[in-house]
Amino acid sequence: MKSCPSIASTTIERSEAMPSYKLYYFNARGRAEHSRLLFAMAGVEYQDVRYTREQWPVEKASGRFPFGQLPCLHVNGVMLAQSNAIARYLANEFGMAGKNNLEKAKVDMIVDAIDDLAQAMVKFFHEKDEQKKAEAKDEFKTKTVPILYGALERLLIANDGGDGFFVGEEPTLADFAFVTNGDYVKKFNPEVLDNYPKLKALQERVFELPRIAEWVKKRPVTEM
Amino acid sequence: MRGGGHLTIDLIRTINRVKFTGSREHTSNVLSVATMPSYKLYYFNLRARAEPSRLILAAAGVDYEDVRIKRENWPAEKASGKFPLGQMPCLEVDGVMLAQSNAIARYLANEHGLAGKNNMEKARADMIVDTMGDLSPHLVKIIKEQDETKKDELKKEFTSKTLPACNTSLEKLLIQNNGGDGYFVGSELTWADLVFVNHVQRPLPGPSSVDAFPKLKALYEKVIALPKISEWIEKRPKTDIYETVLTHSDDVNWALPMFCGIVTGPVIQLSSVRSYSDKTLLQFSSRLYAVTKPLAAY
Repeated sequence: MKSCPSIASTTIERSEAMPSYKLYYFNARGRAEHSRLLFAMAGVEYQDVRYTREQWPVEKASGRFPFGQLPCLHVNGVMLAQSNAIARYLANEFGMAGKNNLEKAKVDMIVDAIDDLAQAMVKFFHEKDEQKKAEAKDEFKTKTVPILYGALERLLIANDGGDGFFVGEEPTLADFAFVTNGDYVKKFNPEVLDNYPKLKALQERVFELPRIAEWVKKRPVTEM
Repeated sequence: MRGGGHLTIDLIRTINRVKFTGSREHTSNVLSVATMPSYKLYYFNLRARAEPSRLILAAAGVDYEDVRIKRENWPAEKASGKFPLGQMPCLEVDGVMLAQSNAIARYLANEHGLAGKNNMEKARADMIVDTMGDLSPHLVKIIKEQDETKKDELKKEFTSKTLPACNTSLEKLLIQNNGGDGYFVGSELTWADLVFVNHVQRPLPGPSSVDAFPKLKALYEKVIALPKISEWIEKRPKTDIYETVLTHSDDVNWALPMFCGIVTGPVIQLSSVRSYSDKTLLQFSSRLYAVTKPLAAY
């Protein structure tokens, strides 16, 4: 411990204590929003960089983004890629990943299951063939979502009755991933949560958390 | 939990684990006698999505029950409700059923000092694993494609474009770590290296896929030569003939055409396919091999 801090060392200590975060993505919720919710919940400042469709090709060509993909998180001189690697890193840093390895595994399980759902959505979203698209959308609504949401409802209930959060007693990345993805599911299936009362209550509970509510109010409104 | 007769072995293993692997939770010289949890890993008789966990357990020198469910038994098992997401792999530990292959692998890695030393290293490992995971949708698409011509096109695109692009990213990631002559993350083996081994050993197209990537190739050869890993590779069930067949779906309608595509090339095509058990696949494979072997002489 330095015994006689000068202004210079105080400044250094301060910036060492608070890493500076830069989150890069498009102007959308998409694959960055669960990270943004983590920042909001933790009350941690970050630069919320959003590239337009025109800006991205230029940025991509610059080579700043090692794998030509977004989102990326720049922290402590390192550029992290992969949306869930980023989110999990932030969750771990902010104590919202689960309190021990088993809890973390439960959080991961839920986040990955929700990711599978997102993949299914992306699939029919990009399907060009109208017939195939309609079939895929139908399968999504009548099979994929009910199977996953049924499982999530059971997992939630298994956590002490299901009137809190997915894992442990506090919000974790699992809850933020769920509500972020839920926004998209709602577009195709507005009343889906009526069949899953505990999930529905969880979603409301998350959006009522003061810091989350505040973020949702002030964030850019985007279609995706 | 195993009975008293095995307690001594557990104790010795625990001592070894604490002393030699330097688990981050035990930095003092006092040995905490944590009893070893009992693990039950459930999957099909395949490498695919369970093999990273098996490699992690092998590297850690940890015993587990390696349950391999037969395809024809899967529908009943699934219906039993035992598997929380109706899928495998699952890991049963401490009365909890964990699902999702990466969640399981990461849990085991964290428990046994193979995850990375701090949150940033863990994030790097995750990033590398997810880069390989990005290939899954492409593979599933290939497996599910019924039209043979389209399937061949997809396979060609995978081996000539998609996979090399992934390996290019992986080589970059490896080089980021101190020039790329060690492991993917930090200075020790992590689960990222083990997931990578499984990635290279995917039958489409197999280890030749890293020939064009010298650092990746060197890493692959280094890891499979590690004593505990080579021992496991040597003794594990040989499942190559099944490996092209699936992920976690219980839908085997696409199994045989894909399988035949690998074994016989364009020589024999089978059209309408229903469910096939492993036994049937084996019978087919030996019959087809008998037919194609003379053809190979031409």
